[in-house]
Amino acid sequence: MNILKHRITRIIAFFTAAYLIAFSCSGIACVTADYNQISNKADNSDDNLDSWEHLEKVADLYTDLWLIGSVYLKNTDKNGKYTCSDARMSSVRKGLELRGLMDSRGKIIVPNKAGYEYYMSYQGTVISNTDKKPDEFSNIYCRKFENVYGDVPVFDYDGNKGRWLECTQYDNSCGMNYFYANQKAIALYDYDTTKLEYYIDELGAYIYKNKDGTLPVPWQEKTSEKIDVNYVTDAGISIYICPSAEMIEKYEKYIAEAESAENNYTKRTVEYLVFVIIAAMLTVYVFIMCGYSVKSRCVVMNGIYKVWTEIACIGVIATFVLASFLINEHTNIVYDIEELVRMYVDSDINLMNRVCIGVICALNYIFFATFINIIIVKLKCRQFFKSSFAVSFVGNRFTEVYGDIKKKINDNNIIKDNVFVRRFILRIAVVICSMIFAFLVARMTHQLWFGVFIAIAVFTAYIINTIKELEDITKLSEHISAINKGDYTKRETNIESAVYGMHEKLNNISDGIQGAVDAKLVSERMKIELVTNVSHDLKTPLTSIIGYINLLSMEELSPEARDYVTILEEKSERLKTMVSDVFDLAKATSKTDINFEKIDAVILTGQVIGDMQDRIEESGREVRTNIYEGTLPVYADGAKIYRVVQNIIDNALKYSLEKTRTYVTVTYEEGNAVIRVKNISSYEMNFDPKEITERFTRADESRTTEGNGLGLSIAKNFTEACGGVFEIKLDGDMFIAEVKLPVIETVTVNDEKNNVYEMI
Amino acid sequence: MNTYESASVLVVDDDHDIVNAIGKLLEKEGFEIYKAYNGLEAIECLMQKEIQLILIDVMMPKLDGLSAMMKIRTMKNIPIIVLSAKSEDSDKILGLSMGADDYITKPYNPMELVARVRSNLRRYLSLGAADSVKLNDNSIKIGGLVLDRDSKQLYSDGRAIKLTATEYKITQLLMENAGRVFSAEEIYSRVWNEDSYSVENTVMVHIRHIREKIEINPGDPRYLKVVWGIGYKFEKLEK
Repeated sequence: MNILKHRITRIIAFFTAAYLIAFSCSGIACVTADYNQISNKADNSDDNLDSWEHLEKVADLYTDLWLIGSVYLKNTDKNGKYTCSDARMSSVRKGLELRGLMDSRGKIIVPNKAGYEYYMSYQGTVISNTDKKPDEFSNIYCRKFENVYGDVPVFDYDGNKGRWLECTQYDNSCGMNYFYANQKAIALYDYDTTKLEYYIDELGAYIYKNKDGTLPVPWQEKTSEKIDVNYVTDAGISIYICPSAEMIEKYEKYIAEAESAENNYTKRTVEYLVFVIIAAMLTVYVFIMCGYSVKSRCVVMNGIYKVWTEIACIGVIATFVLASFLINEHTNIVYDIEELVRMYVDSDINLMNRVCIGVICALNYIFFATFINIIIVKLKCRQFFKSSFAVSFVGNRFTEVYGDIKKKINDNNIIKDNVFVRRFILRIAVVICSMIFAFLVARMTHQLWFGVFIAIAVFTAYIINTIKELEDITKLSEHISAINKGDYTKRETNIESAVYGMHEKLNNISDGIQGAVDAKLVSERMKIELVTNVSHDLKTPLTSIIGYINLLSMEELSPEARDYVTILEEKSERLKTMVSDVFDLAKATSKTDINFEKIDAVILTGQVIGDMQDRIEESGREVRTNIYEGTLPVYADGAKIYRVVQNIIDNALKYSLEKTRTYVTVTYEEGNAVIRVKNISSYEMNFDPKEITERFTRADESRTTEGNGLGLSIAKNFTEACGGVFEIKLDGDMFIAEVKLPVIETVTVNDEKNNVYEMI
Repeated sequence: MNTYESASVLVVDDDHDIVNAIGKLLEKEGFEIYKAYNGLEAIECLMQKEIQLILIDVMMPKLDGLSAMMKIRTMKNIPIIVLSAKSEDSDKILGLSMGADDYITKPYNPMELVARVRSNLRRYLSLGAADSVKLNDNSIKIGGLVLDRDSKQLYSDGRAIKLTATEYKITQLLMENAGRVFSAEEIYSRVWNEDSYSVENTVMVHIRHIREKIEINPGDPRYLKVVWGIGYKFEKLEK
């Protein structure tokens, strides 16, 4: 099979096909020409009895015979003697002579160049050129007109109505009879016309009139000579016309010849078709294998195949048109060539003819197939557009621009903003144009199905496109949802998709968020590590300090020294608390180490107050509570919220004015459990409530009192870590700390104890 | 055989000052002190001397506290108290589950340290102390605590604890159901036999009092715990 791949095999096959095409085309052309010659001979011959010419001749002969019959036979007896008046006889002779139907001696002449046999009879008088009797005119080529008067139809051989022979006779009952047949007329007069002036009317009849211009008496004054007619309806003329036996024989011979030529033609054409089929198979082989290079084991576009695509396309069209012209009009060309050859060459016309036809067909085939080959190779190499003139000329520039655009899209700098609007308009325009096109085509071709087909195709394409786009949008919204849920994986999209740019942007946003989140996590972890390490590092010396202060306090000391040691003990304790608070705070901000569980804000508050009972008593402040009756389940870390509530109550006790009351309430407000601690501040609160929850911010700037300023900050951070809201509100000297935690179950509101506070 | 009053204690820490401070503190209390500055030294010392209790730091060079503790545990079952700067719950749980009997965070309270050392020694040396308290069928033992329901007396490391009637009832309820969390209402209705109404404070105050009596450090209780926002429970200890 390898041999089939070789270029040389293809070339051989190609030229073999060309030769076969030339051979069969010239053969078919000559066969056709032969056949046409024969069939045309029969058709064009003078002896064709099926032709219009034949009918015309019959009609002419009939007209003449009818006029003779109407004008001559009706005014004579069997022996040719006139039975009418002399005046009438002279106008008969004059009229017939004028028509050439009578010689100067009064003998009837029947013009019959074609040599038809005819037979005419009127009341026993017969004019004929044959021995045939009327009943012998039975041949299919014969025409019979029996007892005719007026108009007669001439039938063609198919039995279809052909033309009408207008044969009319009328008189005006004042001495003139007018015979009118087939554009020939003869007028007969019953009075003497010798001294009258006359003219010849448009049908060739003599029309007499007086010298003064009036018509002869008893010609009545009429505007027209031919009006006021009485149609003569007497009949009796019978006319039989038939071609001679020789003519018939000759014609039938032609027909037989043409028939045999046609059979012969079909037979010989089929013989040549075998060669055409072989040539077609060879061509298909060439088309399949074209461009294949054994050396590089693939289809290669080189040499002639590099020609511009447009040229190949035009060539294909031109050769195709030429071929169809040859096929449709081959007879004409054959004739033209025949004429040409006949003019210059005197020898074997048929051979020259065949060679010329063959060469023309072969050349046509070679060009056609070559162009097709070029296109096929281009398609195989996917170079159809790239190798075209348009693209190679404009293309480089276009490619640059397109590449630019592509790059820009990749860089995400191009905003495909109104992409959907643009696509919609474009699509609608395409649909409308297609519809108009379909309508026009359907109108012009009268093929409704074609229009319907185009309409359905366009509509289907539209729907498919729309569905595709909806899918794209769905994907986009899925992408957005994913990002919303914190899934920052990248999504791949087709660059042609309308939503490509959006996906890319979302990917970038995802990247950004992911990076920020990662960086934040890293920094949080580092912060925690730092704080943990620092607090450990602080704790070790602190342990020694506390240990030795304790040892010192056990020694025998002067009262002064004991005071100092006591101070040291206090301060080291504070330092200890502070270190642990800083550590806790760092952990709270990083939101690690939170153990969520379902707890009850009501119970928790009660527990904290119970736990702090001693401190409350120590502080000397009164604490009033108004706690929600029922349960307020929240989802939080109990130990953390304990610290929060403890810190805010502690804060209230520390900084409230002496002998004032501190109010602790737990309420249910709009889905939240709200723990609120209110107290009257012992000092003027000239700070921003938001600042107070910042780390190390203390209301008293001097920072001398107990506390390290971390309490509220820890409370805020712990609350937020548990998903709640911590707020500080100031109202004059009233300090309000509020912890809001979302309640996880719906609770019935039956807060009857509004504004009733319990004393602890 | 030493009594716990004069038991020998091994203090292990890489910080000499801390070791000295603890040594001085415990010597004043009458303990015999041995010192080591890393895990290997600790094990060495343990092999040579007779030690009744170890105070050990976690973060140390050569051999860290936890690893040393695991080695020690293969040889001895003397009480080990971990003394660490790591204060998170997870660190405490890790230390206790790797064989420590107690966990003290730095900076420690000297009084608490002494109390814990005593408590652990007492339990270890008087082989529990538990034996000195008659352990009958009707008594409950949780860690160093023994509740004698016959005499209605609670012992902590062998020492009798004075409880009020209400406190005793609460302790008994919680100890009988160690591990279970009781709400304030439930405790109130079971102990007072009355319907409860805003009893959180009342119960909490009692709980705090009990804790002060039985816990060495009431701020960091070992036995009686508050489950914040839910209720109260007695820890169910494995020992």
